[in-house]
Amino acid sequence: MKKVLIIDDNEIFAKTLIDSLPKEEYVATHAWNGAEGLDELKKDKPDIIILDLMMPKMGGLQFLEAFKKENPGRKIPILISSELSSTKDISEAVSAGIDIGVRGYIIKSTQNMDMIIRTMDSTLKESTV
Amino acid sequence: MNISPLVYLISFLFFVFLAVFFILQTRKREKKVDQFNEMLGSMSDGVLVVDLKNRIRFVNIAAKRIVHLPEKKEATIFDFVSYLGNNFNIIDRLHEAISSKKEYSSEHIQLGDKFFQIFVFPVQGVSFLGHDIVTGGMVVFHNITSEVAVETLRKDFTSMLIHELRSPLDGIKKITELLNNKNIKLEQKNYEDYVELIHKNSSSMLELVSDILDVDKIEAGKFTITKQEADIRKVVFDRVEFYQTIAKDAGVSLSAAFSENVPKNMMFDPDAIEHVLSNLISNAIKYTNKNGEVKVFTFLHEAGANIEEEAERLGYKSVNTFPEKVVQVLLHEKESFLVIMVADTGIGIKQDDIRSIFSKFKQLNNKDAVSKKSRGTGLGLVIAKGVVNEHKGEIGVLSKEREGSTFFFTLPLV
Repeated sequence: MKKVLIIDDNEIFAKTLIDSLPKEEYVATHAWNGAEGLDELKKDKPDIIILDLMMPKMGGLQFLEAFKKENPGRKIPILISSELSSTKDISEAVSAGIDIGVRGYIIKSTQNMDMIIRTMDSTLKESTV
Repeated sequence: MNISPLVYLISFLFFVFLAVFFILQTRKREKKVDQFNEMLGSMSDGVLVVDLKNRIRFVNIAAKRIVHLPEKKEATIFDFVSYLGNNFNIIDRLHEAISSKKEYSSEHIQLGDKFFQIFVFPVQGVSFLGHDIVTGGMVVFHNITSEVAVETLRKDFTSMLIHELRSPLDGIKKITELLNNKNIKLEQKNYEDYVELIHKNSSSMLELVSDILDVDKIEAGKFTITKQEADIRKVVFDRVEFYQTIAKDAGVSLSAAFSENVPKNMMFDPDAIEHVLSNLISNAIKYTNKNGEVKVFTFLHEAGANIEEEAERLGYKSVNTFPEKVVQVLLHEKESFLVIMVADTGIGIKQDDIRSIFSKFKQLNNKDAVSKKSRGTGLGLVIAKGVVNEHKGEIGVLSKEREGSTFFFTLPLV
């Protein structure tokens, strides 16, 4: 069983992703923003994080910076999830988080759930090798 | 032969005449050139005229200011070449315009913190034999900074609208894909949740589309209302009741107060006013912190009475005094009218933003909103203004940062 933490303020995205994940392989937790995500990380150790960038209270970039500060040296595979229009934000987040485990990104608005889950699978496979 | 003195005299007079003629002509021309220079000098656009060897024949103060040259300093073409750099190749453009005898206009060019459109013209003159010849070139620097600012606002507005439409549409698509996926078995509860989400998202899109259409009509002057006899108390009360659940979820207390003199029936468009109230009340809840308060005051302003005292009598605590201009207008009003105020104890509005809050391209920074789902298009207030104007009423806002805002509007009794 793999644990996934979804940090996203988009209710539909989080809900459909959770329901689309194969139940025998994944167990998911949802946080509404970066601050809630940090709280979840204190409680549990996920195998992968799906991180949105634009969120109220604490966005994805701030989450990455706070994570670095609070957990020096800790690494978790992270996929940035974003809209197509924010390619600049994506590259910013990828370079900010590369040393703590950011592995790539998914585009919420154009990729369907199968593609997104496949990206998650392969990211997990890579990080266990 | 005594004609020679006469010839001398005639030739002398002839020369005097010629001299005077030339002097007058030159003066006239100089005067014209002076007038022309004066005109160019006072232009707000930068103007630069050069001859065929790129020597500056004329440059106005505006052009010197653009390249940061002191007004009194003699300018050379190199001052312009070095300031413009790669942004605009002035020598090549002049050469092109002169050799092709065609004018040239640039795209937006950013110089410092300003934007310019630069025009280059060949300068034509008339030769000794009466032929048209090119004597040099003219460069005009037209400042388009404010146009660019408006264009940026328009683009931001469009991309905000696209985001607001795409996000729910994308959500609906994601849900239908999930419901179509035969490998996923949903429980009844989840299924109901999704139907509810589809409904919520399609409603919000539909609302946005009708808002856009309303704003369009208001801008085109084609927005109309249908007045009918109706009970304003009931309209206000129903809206306040409708928003109770949302207010409760946000931890905000929502209530209404009516003065006794509010007329039972008056002429207005109940649907349109309901729309205005919905906008003002939902905004107030959105921008108010937990444990804050939103209160709707409805009272009759009597001709000549002090409107602030009338509001305070109902329990209104002013966050800011009414702007003097508004009070003056209202005090001198010979007729009584209805006043509705939606007062909150929220985050308030910056003074700079108040002026533009009822305009189309203005929306408050989304980060300021307190609740999670409080992204707004800012179209609501534009429509509210349109509706109130159509009723021949006034709409405005009093606000103090961190203390709260009061949106108010008035409705004539007839």
